[in-house]
Amino acid sequence: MNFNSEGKEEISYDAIVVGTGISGGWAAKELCEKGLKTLVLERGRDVKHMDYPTASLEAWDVPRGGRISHEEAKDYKVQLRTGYTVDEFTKHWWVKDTDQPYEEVKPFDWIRGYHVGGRSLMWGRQSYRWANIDFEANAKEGIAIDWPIRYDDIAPWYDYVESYIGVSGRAEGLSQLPDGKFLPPMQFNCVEQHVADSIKSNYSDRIMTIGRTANLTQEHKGRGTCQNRGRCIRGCPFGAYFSSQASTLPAAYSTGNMTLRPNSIVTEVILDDANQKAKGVRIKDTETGASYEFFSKIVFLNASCLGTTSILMQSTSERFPDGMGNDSGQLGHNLMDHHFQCGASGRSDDYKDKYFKGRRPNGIYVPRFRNVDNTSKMKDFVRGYGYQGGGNRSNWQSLVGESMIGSALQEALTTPGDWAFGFHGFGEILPYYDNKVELNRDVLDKWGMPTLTFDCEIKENERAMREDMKTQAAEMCERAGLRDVHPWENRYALGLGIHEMGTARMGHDPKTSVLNKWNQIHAVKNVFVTDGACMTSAACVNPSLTYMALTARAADYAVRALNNNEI
Amino acid sequence: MNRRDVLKSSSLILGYAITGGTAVAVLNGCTVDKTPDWVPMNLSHEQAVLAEHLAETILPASTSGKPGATDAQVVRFIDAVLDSYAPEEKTAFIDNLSLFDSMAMKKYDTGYTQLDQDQRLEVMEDMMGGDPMQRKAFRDFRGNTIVGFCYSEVGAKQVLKFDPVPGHPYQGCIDFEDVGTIWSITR
Ligand SMILES: Cc1cc2nc3c(=O)[nH]c(=O)nc-3n(C[C@H](O)[C@H](O)[C@H](O)COP(=O)(O)OP(=O)(O)OC[C@H]3O[C@@H](n4cnc5c(N)ncnc54)[C@H](O)[C@@H]3O)c2cc1C
Ligand code: SF4
Repeated sequence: MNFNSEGKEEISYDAIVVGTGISGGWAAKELCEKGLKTLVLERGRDVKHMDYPTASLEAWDVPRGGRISHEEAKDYKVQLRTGYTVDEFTKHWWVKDTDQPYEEVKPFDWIRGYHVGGRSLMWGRQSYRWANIDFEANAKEGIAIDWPIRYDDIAPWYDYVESYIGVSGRAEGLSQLPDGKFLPPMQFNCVEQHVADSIKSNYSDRIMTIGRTANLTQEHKGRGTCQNRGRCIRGCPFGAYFSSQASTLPAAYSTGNMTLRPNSIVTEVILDDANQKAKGVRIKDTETGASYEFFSKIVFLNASCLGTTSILMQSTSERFPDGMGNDSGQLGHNLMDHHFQCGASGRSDDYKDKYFKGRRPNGIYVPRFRNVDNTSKMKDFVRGYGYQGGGNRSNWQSLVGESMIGSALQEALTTPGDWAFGFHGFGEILPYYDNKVELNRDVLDKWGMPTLTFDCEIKENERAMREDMKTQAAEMCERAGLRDVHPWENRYALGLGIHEMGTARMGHDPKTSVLNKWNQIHAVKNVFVTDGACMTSAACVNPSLTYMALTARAADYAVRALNNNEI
Repeated sequence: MNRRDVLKSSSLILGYAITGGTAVAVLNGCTVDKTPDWVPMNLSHEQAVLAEHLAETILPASTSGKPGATDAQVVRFIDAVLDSYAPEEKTAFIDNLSLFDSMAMKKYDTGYTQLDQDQRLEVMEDMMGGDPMQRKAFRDFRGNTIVGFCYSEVGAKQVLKFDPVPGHPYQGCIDFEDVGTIWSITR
């Protein structure tokens, strides 16, 4: 906490940043480095780099080999819907659903964690650039509204953030998935190399590359090389993957300009009626329950798509009865995610004498190949999808469902099973006005704040795309000579992709959008939104790299505008 | 005993507060029950004894000296993991243990723990090919035995290969011979 000469907590700053996750960490770093005294507000508890209590624990160090108890699972009903995120090693990173329930008119899986670092600690680190076809698509197809920016506007900022966070990957020269500033790529394993070769010889419209991931394949900016522990989600003692803790927050801190205040729920942005600008924010201290006001010249909202949307909806005034910046009525609408849980897998009869070393925190990527040019136009859907996934050699876990016992089992335990390979599609969801989230003032959460009500679903375009996702995945497995090829599809509801976005979109026109091309609220020019809420469409690639680039770009603009007295 | 109980009881017995070093040793060594006076949380004493024998039949120590389910204290995992089950599943798992005894009674007129090695394998085979309840009892118990073994320090380090920090770079296509067994860590 910053204290002034009278020993009181400082209440006025140049800038306020709300949230310390992937985008908030970047806002904090950029604004502090540009010399702004910045108050960073985070609703969750403080977590320092290296404060990762389970990073080196083994299955026998925790109860039940790591499975969460039935009693405790009751607190994490939604968070458990992913099937992989909540266990004894990670439970401290997730919100208790009982603390902050929400209503589902139609199902929505809101997967999140509140602490310093936000989801930068738990994210999957896949980092892809958007392409020009993504920024142009809405305008060309007459869907929703046009993006106010193009690839050229953001390209230098992709360079900038990639160079700082460190993204390993291979340059492929594709226009639909621009190359970045890459650290050396990770290796394929035997079966992946086999499938990649097969795709190369069987298809002219697609390739398979190694995943582009924010894990370091060499030392970078004082952070260590990834040791292939495969336990990133617990926090990395080497700082070898990008998180706010390991990367942006230390940079912000070292300027001496950052004041970080955890346990501070921002409840609203305060409007200054006199000049139609924000004058600061109101918070609730989660430890004392007390409310405070902090003031600043600019405010960056980075509370995550739905966190930021809630704050704006709660920020009502005479000028903005339906939420700050909501002249267009678009706030809370156009909720998007990436649809997945659909693909195909198979087994290989080869490479029986081969194995691997390391738990590579990364998989493969097949960049989008549908609707990228005239020859790849699809009749029954627009936009496209990419595949993540990968190969591995099965281990003792595959024995669990079998029946051998005794010495045969003892023997089987030490013999690896088949190599298996799978494609897992991730597809674009269109921005539909009626996919929406609303504030529910009747049901309050543990902290006395309104909750959310979700009403959203995938529609025909996505369903048609899923069919193709499955068929193409299976065909590629077949052509690679895999056996037991199994196309599959599981339940998917919006949110499960954990790429929620779009509820305060950017656009040219204040009548149809909340933010302008600099991520400024059209009608409140000193408030910037640079998390997923700002997205005008979703593309099909993981979004966080784009949030980082947009944040750095908006921070640069904001400081220039501030210095020119424009805001 | 859980960690807190160990700390409590040892400080009581010893009559003084545990100093740093002792506390660390206790904390590191006893996150899963390894104390000889282990008391099951979900199984009765008799059920725990039966379970220990069942697990050893499924995953025996080898003649060449490789540890088995008993060495790995698999029964303690099985007892504990039941807390991750819904109450009705937990009850069903525990009740189903008696099916192994009933099968032993039917075939040999004695309880499972009284059988010799061949008879035990026979009973397992019959459970494996029995009615749906028996098959389920077998499958569930067997599954937990394998998971418990591979998640134990003994199984992970003495039978499988334990490699907490594999290092850089990831190698995706090496000779299996260079490793010789399966990696233990799956997460
Ligand atoms: C398991 C998992 C895997 C993922 N994999 C990938 C991937 O491979 N690639 C990818 O691009 N993305 C991935 N994501 C998504 C990625 O984590 C998010 O896109 C990203 O974290 C969003 O950044 P953000 O700054 O908007 O929000 P967050 O990182 O969620 O941070 C928001 C912060 O704001 C705080 N906050 C919220 N409300 C308030 C309030 N009212 N007041 C104060 N503070 C508040 C929160 O506590 C939190 O710390 C994954 C996510 C998860 C959970
Ligand atoms: S896999 Fe790499 S980045 Fe992830 S926790 Fe391990 S060393 Fe760190």
